[in-house]
Amino acid sequence: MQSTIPLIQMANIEKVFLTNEVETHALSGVSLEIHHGDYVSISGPSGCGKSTLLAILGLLDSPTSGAYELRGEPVERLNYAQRARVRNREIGFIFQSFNLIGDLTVWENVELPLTYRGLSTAERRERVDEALTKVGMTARAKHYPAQLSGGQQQRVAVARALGGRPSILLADEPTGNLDSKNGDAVMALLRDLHAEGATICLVTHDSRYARDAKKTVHLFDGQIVSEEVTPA
Amino acid sequence: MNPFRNAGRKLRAFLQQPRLKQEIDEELQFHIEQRTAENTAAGMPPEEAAREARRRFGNFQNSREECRRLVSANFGESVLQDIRFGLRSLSKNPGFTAVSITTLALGVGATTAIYSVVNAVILNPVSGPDPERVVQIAERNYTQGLFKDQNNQLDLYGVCPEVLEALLPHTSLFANFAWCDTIWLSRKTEDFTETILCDTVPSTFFGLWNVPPLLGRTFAPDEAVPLNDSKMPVRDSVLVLSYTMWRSHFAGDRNIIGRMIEMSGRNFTVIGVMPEWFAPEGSYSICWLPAEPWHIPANQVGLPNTRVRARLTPGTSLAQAQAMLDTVAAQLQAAHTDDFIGKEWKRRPHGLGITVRPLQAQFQGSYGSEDLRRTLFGLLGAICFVLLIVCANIANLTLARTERRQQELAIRSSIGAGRWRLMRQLLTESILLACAGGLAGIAVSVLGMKVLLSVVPGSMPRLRPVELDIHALVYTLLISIATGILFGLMPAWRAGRAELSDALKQAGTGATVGVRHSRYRGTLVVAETALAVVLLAGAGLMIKSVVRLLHVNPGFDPENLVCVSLQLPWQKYSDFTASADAGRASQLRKLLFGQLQERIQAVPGVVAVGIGKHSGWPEKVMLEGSSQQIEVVREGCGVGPGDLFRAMRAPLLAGRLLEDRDRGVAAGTAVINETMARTLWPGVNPLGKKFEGLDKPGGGGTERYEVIGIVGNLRDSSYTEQIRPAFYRPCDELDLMGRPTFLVIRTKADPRLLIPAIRKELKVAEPDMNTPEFTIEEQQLYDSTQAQRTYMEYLVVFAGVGVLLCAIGIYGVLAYSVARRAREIGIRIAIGAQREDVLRLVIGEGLRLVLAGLAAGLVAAFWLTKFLRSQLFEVTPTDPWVMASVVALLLGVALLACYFPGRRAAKVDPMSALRYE
Repeated sequence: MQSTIPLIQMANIEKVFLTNEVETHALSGVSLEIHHGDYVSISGPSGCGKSTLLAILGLLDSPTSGAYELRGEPVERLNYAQRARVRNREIGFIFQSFNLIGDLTVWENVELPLTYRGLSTAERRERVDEALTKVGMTARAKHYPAQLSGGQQQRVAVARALGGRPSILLADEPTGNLDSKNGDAVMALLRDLHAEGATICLVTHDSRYARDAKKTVHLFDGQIVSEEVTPA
Repeated sequence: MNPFRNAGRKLRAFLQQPRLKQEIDEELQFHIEQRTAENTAAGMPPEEAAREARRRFGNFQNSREECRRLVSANFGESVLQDIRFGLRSLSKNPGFTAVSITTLALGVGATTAIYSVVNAVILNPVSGPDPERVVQIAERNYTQGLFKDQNNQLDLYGVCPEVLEALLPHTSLFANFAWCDTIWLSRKTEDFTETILCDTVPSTFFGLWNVPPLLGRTFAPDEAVPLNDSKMPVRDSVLVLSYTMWRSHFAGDRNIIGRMIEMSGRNFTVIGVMPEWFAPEGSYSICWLPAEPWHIPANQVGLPNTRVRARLTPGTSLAQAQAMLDTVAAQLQAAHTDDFIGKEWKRRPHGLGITVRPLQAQFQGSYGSEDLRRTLFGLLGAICFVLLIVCANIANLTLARTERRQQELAIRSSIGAGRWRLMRQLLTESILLACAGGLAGIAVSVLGMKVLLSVVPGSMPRLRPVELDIHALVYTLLISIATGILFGLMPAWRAGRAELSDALKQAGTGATVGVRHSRYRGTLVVAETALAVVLLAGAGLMIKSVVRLLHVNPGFDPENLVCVSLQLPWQKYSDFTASADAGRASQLRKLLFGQLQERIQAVPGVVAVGIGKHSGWPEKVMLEGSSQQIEVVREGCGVGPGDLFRAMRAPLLAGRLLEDRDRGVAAGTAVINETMARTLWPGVNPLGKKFEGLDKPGGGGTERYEVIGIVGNLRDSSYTEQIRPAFYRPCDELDLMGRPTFLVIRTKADPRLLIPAIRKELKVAEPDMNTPEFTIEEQQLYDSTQAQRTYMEYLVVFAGVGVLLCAIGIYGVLAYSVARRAREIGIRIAIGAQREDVLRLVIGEGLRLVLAGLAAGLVAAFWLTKFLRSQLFEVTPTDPWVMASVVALLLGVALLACYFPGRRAAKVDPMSALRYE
């Protein structure tokens, strides 16, 4: 079921990088809507602007121009602290290379975003346990990332993203560093999460995984060249 | 192949590089030409023959390279390449290079400077070959307490003339045997007669020390002159000047040699000037006179003031020399059974004992140098701490830098560089840094030595110049280099062992830094913080001591007060001159003091004049109704308007001061100081109390005194002066023996301005007076804190350097940690960490290390600062305020050192940090 106000609404987003006095248009006139419960995949060749779009969606970067609303609130001009707060509460990231912190255990990695939110110990424990259970990593809670396989690390990364109960999960090539078996397992996990109601935005090269999404956005040279909606 | 032979071969190859290359080329060319000749002989046309020969030979360039490699002909080039790359690499990291060189310069420079001074002054003070064979010979246990040193250990000083005379026929065990006795010579100046302290020595004296003169020559064997009964030379003589006398009396005139000086009625020809640093008996005597041993007149008793120094012949042990001395002592005692000196020896606990010990022991043990010894060793300890901090910093810096270059090393390795080649590159960079740090360190040590030498007091004997100690320089440099190399090569060693693909991938993977490497560096930071705590605690305690010292009440007002020591003619004013009777000498003193008081009081600008005299030795007194004998000091004081206390503005605590009616022992009155009042009559009013003096001046009998006044304690020479119980009697009652009579003159303005007028009046009052010495009291008191102030200044500098290096260490570790953890920090920011969270993370990491260091440092400081106790004044070695201040200061510095990396971390752009994936 979709609410009337889109979760994410982007209109005419531009992103220009200036390097050595050379302008690079990473994104040009990108407009996108994502509703609660959507499963959107963004695909396209290397350098087409997928990761830039995901960074703007995740408030890791701001657009050069254009409008971006999250839950109906404009977020494109938020300051550093406000963006960090929104990221922490609304967005869960899943990276290609997991980006777990080597010095922290699995449990602590999942707990980390919750500590920034100032939740009580009991609340944190509950949410971490729930997230680890969801990804099937409870047994490895005391392990360090280096003691896990790539697939397991990515599941922990998913748990970390889920722990904050975000409005949307942004996954940037989550299977890029995994073998096909582990990649399939992670994608199955995302499918399950979506089935449970999670909103997911996935950047992927792999057309097999792109097909899991209900809507596929094709990018080329920083522009959306097509949008496909998979019939339910 | 043997590594040494291999290294030798490479060195030869390096030195003969052009010739070797030419030989290889010629050899290869020869093969081709040989084949060409064979082909031609076989009937080939010349061009064809040459082409075929080159084809058969193969790739000429490859063969040449291979041959050059085999004979190491390219070794030099690769070394130069390493140096070039090293220089470029260091210049591209100016921060690392500057911090490393500064760290090395401070550590190496300061350590070398302090060690050079300590070594030349205390550890190895005797110059020349076999310094351990130079010995000191002295009578043992002579003084029974009077001349014990500060540790209450018996000091060895000299022998009496009888002993010296007995020793002279027994010098076969010594390659060189010399003695030294001080006499007073008088030299007329424009207004007064000046007293010059001169050492009479044998002609062989300078040969003992192996020290050539700065100018001229030393004594010839036939130049020794006999001394008369008064120890004065019986005829004109030659003289060698000290550097001090040459500079102060003759303005360093380089034409001084051959000049005649008239002193004590004799002409002395200057034949030499000794170097500035040469002062084998301290700096009291300022010239040397060649003399024959003094034969004590029959009616006199000699004191053991003749210092004997000798050099043992090779093969002679100290035990053999001691056995000889024991024999001489036994013979002497047998020969002197009934005379005065014999009875004196019998009074000693073990009779006459003559002992021998290495001269070095004198420098390292007592002779008034204990304070200096503690000071210098304290500084040496402090500097060792600085060196340890330097090592920790160098280790941290190199460890961080080479770890950061892990990927570069992996790339080098992947394209064929062996482990040794990688290590050689890092080694070259370490050596380049060490050279630069060493050069800067030499500059620091030369400057440091100049400053440090000001701590060594003039009274300390000096036998060799203080020069830059090359061993210390090399040693400290090697320690620093070794630290750098050890920590710098570890990553290169690991790079050689690690899987290349892993290493190459490392920077590109999603793994963040583990805890192992940061633990090494964290431990180093904890250690250097602990060392800095100890240094700061020492400096803090010294600062508090000096502040306390400068706030001590000296018991009088030192402002605009000058003290004049009077060198009165002994023959005229002493009770002990053969011609004078005691009453007449005392009367003359009374007249003179009265005249001095009147004349100087009349000088415009003079407010008050007081007269005083310290006796310098204790006397025994007994309280009325008690048989207990107590040691007190008898002091001289002017009466009426010449009263010492009025001029000094010292408080009269009770009763009255001395007046004219108190003159003469028969008056039976005494003013006592506060310490005597408290010591002899605790809790009782001493006014009217009586005591008996058991050592009547002039000898024999006792005298009784009634206490008529109590005055405050006076610290007129030093803030730290130990106050002894003292009683005051009119000045003219005290003979000239002991310390000189003095005037204290209170002036309206700066007393320095009145010195010429005062000198003039002194000259009129007593024309035969020797040059008086003027001391500005305020300056004297301030100067009395010089040792503590200098010590404090050094410790403050060392502590400052230590804290600075510690801050650099903390900053370095955190900055490196932030650089390494940029990705992790990026992840944290990506998942919602605020700037404050990141700042807190980094500062927390730094503070954890600092707190651990503080805890360890405080424990060490509580234990180590007790060694400072002798230097401290009214401060305990564990003073809580000092320790709290140290903690607060270090925490502040550490916070600052943590803040900058923390701020940088908080600014990490998550996009940049994560883009690497």
